[in-house]
Amino acid sequence: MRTYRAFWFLPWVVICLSLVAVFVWTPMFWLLQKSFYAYSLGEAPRWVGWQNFIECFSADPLIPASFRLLGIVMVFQMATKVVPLLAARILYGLSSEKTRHAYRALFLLPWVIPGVAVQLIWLQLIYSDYGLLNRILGWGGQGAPVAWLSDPTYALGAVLLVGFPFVSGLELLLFYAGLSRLPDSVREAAALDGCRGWRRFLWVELPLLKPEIATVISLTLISSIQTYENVLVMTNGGPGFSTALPGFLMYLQAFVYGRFGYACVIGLMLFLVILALVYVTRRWEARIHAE
Amino acid sequence: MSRVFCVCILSSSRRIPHKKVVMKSWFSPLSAWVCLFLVLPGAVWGEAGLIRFCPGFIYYPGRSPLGTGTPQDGFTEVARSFEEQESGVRIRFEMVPGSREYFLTQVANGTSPEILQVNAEEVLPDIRKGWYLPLDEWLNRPNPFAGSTRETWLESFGYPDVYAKRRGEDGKVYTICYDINETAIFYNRTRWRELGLPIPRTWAEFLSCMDRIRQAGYQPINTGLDFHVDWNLDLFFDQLYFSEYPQMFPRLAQPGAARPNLTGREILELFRQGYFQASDPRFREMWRLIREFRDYAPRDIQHSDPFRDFLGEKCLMFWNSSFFAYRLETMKPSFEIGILYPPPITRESSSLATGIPFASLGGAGTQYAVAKSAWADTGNPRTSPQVASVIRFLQWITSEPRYSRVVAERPMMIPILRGIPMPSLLQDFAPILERRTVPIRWYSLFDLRFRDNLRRNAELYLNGFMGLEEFLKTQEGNFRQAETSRQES
Repeated sequence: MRTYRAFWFLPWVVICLSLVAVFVWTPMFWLLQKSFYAYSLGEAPRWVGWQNFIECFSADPLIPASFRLLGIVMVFQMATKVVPLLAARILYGLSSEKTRHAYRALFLLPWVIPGVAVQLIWLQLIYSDYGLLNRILGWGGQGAPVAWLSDPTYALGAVLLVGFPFVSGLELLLFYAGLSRLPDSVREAAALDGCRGWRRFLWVELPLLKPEIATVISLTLISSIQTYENVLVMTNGGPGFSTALPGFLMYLQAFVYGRFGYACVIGLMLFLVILALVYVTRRWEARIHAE
Repeated sequence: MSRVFCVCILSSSRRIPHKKVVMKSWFSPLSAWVCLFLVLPGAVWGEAGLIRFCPGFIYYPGRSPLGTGTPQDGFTEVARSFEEQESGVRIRFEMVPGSREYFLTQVANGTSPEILQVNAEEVLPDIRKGWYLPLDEWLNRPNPFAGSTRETWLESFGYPDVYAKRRGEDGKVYTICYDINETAIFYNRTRWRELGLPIPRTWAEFLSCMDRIRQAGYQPINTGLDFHVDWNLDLFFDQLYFSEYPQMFPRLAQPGAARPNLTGREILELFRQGYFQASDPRFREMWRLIREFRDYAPRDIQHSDPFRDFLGEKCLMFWNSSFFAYRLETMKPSFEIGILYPPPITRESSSLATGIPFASLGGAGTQYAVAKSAWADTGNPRTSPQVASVIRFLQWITSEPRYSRVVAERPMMIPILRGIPMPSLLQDFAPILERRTVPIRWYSLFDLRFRDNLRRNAELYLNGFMGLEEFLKTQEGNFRQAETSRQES
């Protein structure tokens, strides 16, 4: 009977594995192989050895883009964890279940807005000539309007601020669930010891929320390294290359310049970095869960 | 099939008595393999006699382009009449993205529509890859649907420069130019009169008008970044270099009605001789003038919306394509609109100016290319019945009365077929089309890497975040990069 059930699912397993093999494993090996070629679609690949790798580590836009990414990931990880955590705590602390429910719905509502729509709205807000942000700054006494997206000094910050105040639905829900999971006895014990309010949150609840924090970080870390849609929609990596990120450069090299070999090297580098980060975060997560 | 698929999914997701499992155990694996081997490839396999046609957003049936008026059906009618005439042929309209990713993946793979609306600039970098069909063989023979005329298909199109400029470096034509798109400056005639501004006769007068507009509290003009580094560059190049053409490009001085644009090879040859470098005074002057002109546009030329700013009277002029004439008309602005063409740059503005009237761009509007999916049936375009059908369809839509039926539905684009009258709304563009055309298209001289580098550095330079010297150095590097890329390919 057991054998029979296995046979029952076998074709579906084969289909799934075939799809994974075709769409995940094959491109992975393809990426590795093509890294050693000068390759453009429609042309015969030409073996160039390590040339793509050498260019990757010496080329101008990629090295600054990698440092830029590092900074962005750190800032973004902080902002997208701290604010939802605080929001979740405030929500959890509301006494009325009805109000809690209503606020939760309000916080989750922006989650259903497509990312591109948010980016376009943000573009209108920070548009340097007639944007709302510059008008407000103008009322506040700021002289010349700031060219948020065309000034290389501000462009990256302007792109980073998309989604402000960073209360994303996923993080909020996970932290809220984590707070609900904590037994009341812990809070009561803390209260008996005189630990209340923000001190209780900082010294009692926050350490107990470590599993949720670890889960959220490992879930969002990979996507924050790979992401470049904000840059693509808002600045196209410009002005110059001042907002270009490695993921964007990979796209540019492959689909605009037609240099798939070089793009494969960037992809390979990203893959290795993400692999290392996944390993580290999984270990960290496992340790926290074990504790 | 979808019902079978649903049954499989449902049946596998619940606990079923042993007897039923035995019965369905044959059914489920079978359906799974059917899904894998029949349904998935079925989505890719083509249909015999089917021509997939992407007419572009201006003519796409059932839609009103840019929200102008009722949905159009010109091409539907023309396609149905073709199907009635050619048995076994069916036309299906498809809208595809105009992005580079699409061309690189779908066209290369042979899965795009057989007829694609493209810009020649997108096609020309890929012609050596064999993705698009050279059309000269058919263009140099009469169009069988054009009646008893002996003129060739190519001759049936007016404005020969438009086709000449879209030839590849191999001298061949890869796109059918279905209509024309020319640029002009749309200006707010009502405010212009109120401010007592004259129609400028020289570039210096034009700048002076813009100074007065700015003093009156308006943004003088709005042109986007792409305009500055694309069309503007070609026009300013012509203004500065026209007197040098006989020495630089002897072939331009040879007699002949229509001449192909200057090629990347010719430009690189001159670059090696010292042209287009920081030491080339005309090249410096050209970029200085473009920068000076840019300062009359909004601060953020990359993200501004010239059309909206003009309509909302935030700026009093916007320099753009002729198809905005119809859009402006349908928006019924509260002010009167005039059209002017930039006046010549004279010695008053630049000691290197030639003073010649601004040339026109000779711009093609909608262009149709035949992609390699058209000869997927035989693998050879010469023997492919599908290619023959596709060409006949293109000949059908570019002959009367079909052509008028489509282009007259919305007077957005300037008709290119000879004998078709200019729509009254676009009459102001007729004198512009009579002008000499610029002999260069900087944006399509080299590969897309050159274009992207030019655009990125120009953005920094035009916005004041890079000096002229540094910018010209980046362009020298860009030319060298283009040279290396050409040698490698």
